[in-house]
Order: sequence, then structure tokens, then C-alpha cells
Amino acid sequence: MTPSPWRTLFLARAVFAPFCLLLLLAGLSGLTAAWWPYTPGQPIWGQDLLAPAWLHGHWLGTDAIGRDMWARTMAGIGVSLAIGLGAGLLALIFGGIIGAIAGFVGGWVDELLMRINDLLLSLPLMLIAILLIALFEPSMGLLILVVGGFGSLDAARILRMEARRLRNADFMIASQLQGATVLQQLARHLLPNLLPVALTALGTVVPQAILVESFLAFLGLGPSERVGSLGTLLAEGVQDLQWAPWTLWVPAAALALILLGFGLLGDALRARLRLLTSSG
Amino acid sequence: MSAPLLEVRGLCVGFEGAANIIDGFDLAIRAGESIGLVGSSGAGKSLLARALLGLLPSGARSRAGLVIYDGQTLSTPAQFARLRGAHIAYVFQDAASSLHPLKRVATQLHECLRVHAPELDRAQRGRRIGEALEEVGLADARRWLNAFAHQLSGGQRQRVMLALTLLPQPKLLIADEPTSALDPVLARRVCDLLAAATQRRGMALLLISHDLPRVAEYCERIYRLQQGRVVAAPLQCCAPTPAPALTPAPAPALAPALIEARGLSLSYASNWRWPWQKPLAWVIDGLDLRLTAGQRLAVIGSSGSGKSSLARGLLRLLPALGGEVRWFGQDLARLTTTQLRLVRPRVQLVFQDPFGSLDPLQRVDAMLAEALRYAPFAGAQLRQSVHGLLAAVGLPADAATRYPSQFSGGQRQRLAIARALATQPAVLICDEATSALDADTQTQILNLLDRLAAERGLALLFISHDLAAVARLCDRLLVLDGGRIVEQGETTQLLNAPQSAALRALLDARPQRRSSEIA
Repeated sequence: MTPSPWRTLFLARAVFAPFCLLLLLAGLSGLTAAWWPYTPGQPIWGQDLLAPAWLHGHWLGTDAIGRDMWARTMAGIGVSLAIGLGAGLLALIFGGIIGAIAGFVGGWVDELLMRINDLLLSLPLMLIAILLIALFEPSMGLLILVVGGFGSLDAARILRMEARRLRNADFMIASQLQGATVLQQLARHLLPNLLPVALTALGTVVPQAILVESFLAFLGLGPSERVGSLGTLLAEGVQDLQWAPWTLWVPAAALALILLGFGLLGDALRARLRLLTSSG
Repeated sequence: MSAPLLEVRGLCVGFEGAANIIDGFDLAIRAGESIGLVGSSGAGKSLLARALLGLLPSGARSRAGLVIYDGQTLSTPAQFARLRGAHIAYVFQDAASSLHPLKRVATQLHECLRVHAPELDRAQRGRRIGEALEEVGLADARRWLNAFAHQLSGGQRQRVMLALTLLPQPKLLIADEPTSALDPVLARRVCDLLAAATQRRGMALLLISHDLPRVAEYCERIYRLQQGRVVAAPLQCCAPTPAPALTPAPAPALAPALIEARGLSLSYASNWRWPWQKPLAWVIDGLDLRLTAGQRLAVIGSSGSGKSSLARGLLRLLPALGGEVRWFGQDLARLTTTQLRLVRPRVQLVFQDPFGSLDPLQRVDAMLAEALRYAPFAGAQLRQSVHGLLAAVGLPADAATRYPSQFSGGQRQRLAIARALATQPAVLICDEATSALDADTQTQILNLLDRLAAERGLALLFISHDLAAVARLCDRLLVLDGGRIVEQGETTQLLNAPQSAALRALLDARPQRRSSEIA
């Protein structure tokens, strides 16, 4: 019994460590929501602008209207991670389907899908996102849809290339020659072999989604006024920067940690991609 | 007897934290001598060559032993660096990647001379380069000098590499599998050049290869590397007359054909042309072929003769633009997708590259189980199991729980054959199925194919450029050149009395025995 290539991949230290960092952040966010004495949206009278300290119980201080920064940051991490992962998964699933079809079928279908893709890619993402979110009620779902939709354009391109390569791989031809239907070829060989590249794509799409979300929230187009993502916190922190710098530094550090985690994870996965896709 | 030019005593090389790969290796090369070093892949041949040049890959260490060049013991990197190129030259296996892709040939040759012979001026360098190119058979130097590596063919690249290594006038040339990327006709020319150049200049040659017969032809002594040390080389050369082929009962002329091609024409371009466009370039041009039950038919030809395209055409991976292909009497082009899918399992392909033909993410048992599901079992036919298949191709039962990356090239080819057998085919098409393997493994795979074909009554269509393999395995032979059949008949007959130029060229390219002394 030998470990599957997947296991070997995820047990590698360079993959495991950033994965643990992200898991830790998500775990802290969950624990805070359950057990932390302060809630992110509840101001506490007389405790505004406390500096970070151990004794008064607000470890990371409070903001201008007395909301606990630890609670707010952890909630922000949760929102950012949820939007990032949601948008990333949406991008992968949608982009994966388009890319796999274009790459596998080829011919005019490929041309058509990819030219539409080029067309959409040439549109300015930020302007469209701002327009869409301003037109409709800002919500987490809408944000995931917009950011994920744009991410799927990139993902489709990456996955199409890989699908094209795999379509001509000897093992795909072998299964065709054994009488596999197109669906069987797709399910048994193409999709499993696309997954490593898809995961790598996740490493770029997710941080991008988190950044876009933070930027939109910074502009005041965040999903929720009450809880606030890291971007909302940053926007408020900038206003209080002169007398309460921690209100900016704390969410900024949290955002940096998340992006670092995804960045390292993506790099490590990309570097080890050969473990999975090449058989040598 | 003069003192050796290069002497190696008790060399031990290994990777950190692992046993020695080279373990107590001894070698002595005198000036002007040609030495062969053979061994199967993984025996440590290339590692040894790199150890001789002081170019061990990272992680590898020379643990014991001496490398002595011209009476001087080499130990520090600087000592090796002084000798490399100027005294000891190295020809790489893969000329494509050892030439700089973005520099013209001339720039690279001048650079080499600027380093090794700084006293020469540009004109003198140009003259030396012209001579060197002429020596390796690239006359009309101006044409080659301005070329980039990608504009040259494989043989031309290897020649440029050779010219490059000859420029500093080294005393010893180490050639590491210089021809394994070339087809046999080209390989022969490059080896001839190598031998001629070393002889003319009185250079010593260390020729490293897995191809014993070829080395035997060019070298005075042969060392065989096994388990890291030298063992005597049993010289099993290709006999000039091919070994008597196995003689299955010759199929009666009118036996029903399993696979039949009539006037088959294939092309990679589309059939539809503008009137002013050139006519189609046919890869296969009006070819007739019949394969009957139990028959073993070989298709041979040099690279580019259309062998692989023929396999693709017969399998309908490439549509027939002219003529027809019939499987079991049915015209393939007329079958619907579903009908085709149902008949596909009866004709299976073994690919050339055992590294690309197995899904890297699929465990062996899953792969074979999938293949078994496609098999058109009728009632109580032979029940096959994953373990039965593994046993049939000579792999242990615990191979079932491993992934393809954990097998060697030869084992993978066995796996590919097991997968092909799972669907109970009547015909097995082998597209250069042994050419990516080293000599020992080739023999094993050929024996396996031979046994399986006999046991299961398979018809074989064996596509190859390896005449020894063909002589060993096949009773009928078909010679392909430029997409047409130029000759066909009984294997023994044809090999003994070749009529066509294509077959004669392939026969001439076979190594001939010349070795006198085996170390």
C-alpha cells in the first residue's frame, strides 16, 4: 500500500505550513465568534480608543466608538476568507467547465468560448464590479458572484490549456481506444488530472478575490455595514490613523497574513505540481 | 605500454544518505584508445561520466577513490575545471538542450575558442571553426554558422556539438549516449564521425551507451557497469544474419483479415484545399495491408516514413482521407460512434512512451479495473482479474496498490501491456513499444510480447525501426518509406536479401562486430 500522490503532496512541509496558517486564522475567527466576550458590532460606552493591552480585556484595543478590535478583526477575517474561498470555488467550477469544454472539444467551440473570454477579460474589472454593486443591494452573495465571475475568466484560460494538453495525452487516447465514452474519459482521466492545475489556479484566484473585496469595502461597497470585512476595517482605520494607529495596523496585518498564506500555498502547490501531473 | 591518460581507482559515488551508486570503479584509458562503457539504464553510467569531469549533480558525493589524469590526481574543483573542455571534452546525450537556444552557432563556437585559445584572433578562430565543421561533415560552413539550434535537425545539432567539443583539441572525449536520441541511420553516421575524428586526432574516446552492439563496433575494449562496478561484458552482438524467427504456422492466404487497409491515404492537413494551394502532402499514400489471426506483422522504416501515422490511421485516430480500413470485415468509417466504441476493445495499442501512457493519478488496480470494465465479456469467457493480468505480464501482486510513478520504464511498459490485454483484444498494435527502453529491458519486453501473443493467439502489428527486435518477433515484414510500402515479405528472406534502398539503409545502420578485447 503506497500513499497516493495527493497525500504526498499535502504532507509536504511547504504545502502543509501555509495550509495550517490559514486553518489557524479561520479557527481563531470561529472561536472568537463563539466565545469572545465582545461582539464585533456592539459599541461599549466609555471604552472608545483603548490602546492594545492585556489588562483591560481588549487585547487589540478598541476603535473610535468603542468596538473591540479583536472581535472585529476576527469577524473580518471570517468574511474575507468566506468571500475569497466562495469566489475562488465559483471561479474554478465555472471556469473549469468552460475551460475543459473548450480544451477538450477544440475546434470552433474552443475558438468561440475563448474569444468571448478575451472580450470579457478586456473589460475593466473594477469599474464593472463597482457598477454592479452600486446598482444592486450590496451583499456577500453578490460580491462572491461578481469577483468569482471575473476570476473564472482567468481560470478558464489556464484550465483550457491544461485540458488541451491532456486531450492529446497517451493515457487519454488509451482509454478512448478501450472504448470509453467521452463522459467516461472526462470523469476518469481529464477531470482528476485537471485538479492539480485547478488547485494552483485557486492559489491566485482566492487572494485576488480577497483583495478586490477589500478594495470594494474600502470604497464603502462592502457586503455588510454592521460586521464589516477587513476592507471596511481598513477604511475606518485610515480615518483614525493619527490618534489610534492600531485600528489600521491590526486589520492590515490580518489581511497581510491571509494573503501570505495563500501566496505561499499557491507557490508550494505550483512547485510540486510535477509530482502529480508528470508521471516521471 | 604507455602510462594511462586517465585512470580511475576504486571510485565510489553516491547520493547523500543513500548507498553508493558507483561502488569501487576502476578504469584506465591510454592515449588514442577507444573504450566502451555499457550498462542498463539506472546503472550509474551518466553519474560516472560526470564524476570523471568533476560535475556531480547536487547531493551526489565522491566518497572514495582517485581520478588521475596524465599522472596528476584530480581532487579540487579548480583542477577539474582546468581540464574540462581543454583536455577532457564531453558530448551530451541531448544536443538540443546543450546548445544555447538564443545564440547562433557561430557565436557559441567563437566563445568556446575565445576561452580555450585566447591567443587566436577572429580570423584564425574562423579558420579553425571552418575546419572543425568540415571535419564533422558540415561542409559549407557559412550555412550552419548563422543558424540557431532550433533550425538544425537532431543529427546536425549533434554534429555541431561535436565540432564544439573538438575545437579546443582535447585529448579525451567522453560521449554519453550521443546517439540515443537519433534514429539508427543517423546514429550510425554520428558514431562514424566520432570514431573518425578521434582516430585522426589520436584522441582517446570513452563511449557510454546502453547499446552494447553499437559500442562493440567502435571500441577496442568494453567495460560493463553493473551494480556500480565493472563486470566482464558478455558480448552478445547482433549476428549478421538475423536469428531464426519463431515460426508460427503461416496463415493461409485467404484467412479472414482482422485488420485490413485498402488504398489507405492519410494526411494531417485538411482534405479541402483552395484551388491555388499545393496538393495534399500524404503521410501515408495508398497503402494496402492485411493482418490475419495469429499473424505477426512488422512495419519498419526510418523516422518520418509514416509508421506512427499508419498506426493512428488503422485505429481511426486519424481519419482516412482515401481508401478504407476494415476491422473484422467492417468498414471503420461507416461505424457509428457507439458501434465503434463497442469494437474498439478488440484492437489495442501499446504506446512508445511508457511515461505518458499511464494516468499518473490512477492507481494500478483502478487502471486495470477500469480496463476490465470495457472488456466485452460474453458469458463465461476467460475471467480475468487484476492480479491475473499482473501475473501475466510478470509483475508482483503488490504492484496493484502502487501508482505509475513508482515503476521503472520497463515495468510501466508491462503495465501498459496488461491494460491492453484486459479488454481481451484480438490484435495488439505496438507502436515503437520498445524503443524508449534500454537494451536489457527491450529484450524482456520482446520476450513478454512473444509469450503473450503465443498464449493468447494475438495478432501483432509491430511498428519499429529495430531490425533485431523485428527479426526476433515477427514472421512478416513490411518496409515503409515516404508513406508507401517499398518492400514486403517473409522476415528472414527480406533481411537476408534486401531489395529496397530503405531496408538496405536500415540494415547498414546496424552495428557490426569489431571488438577485439573485452575487459
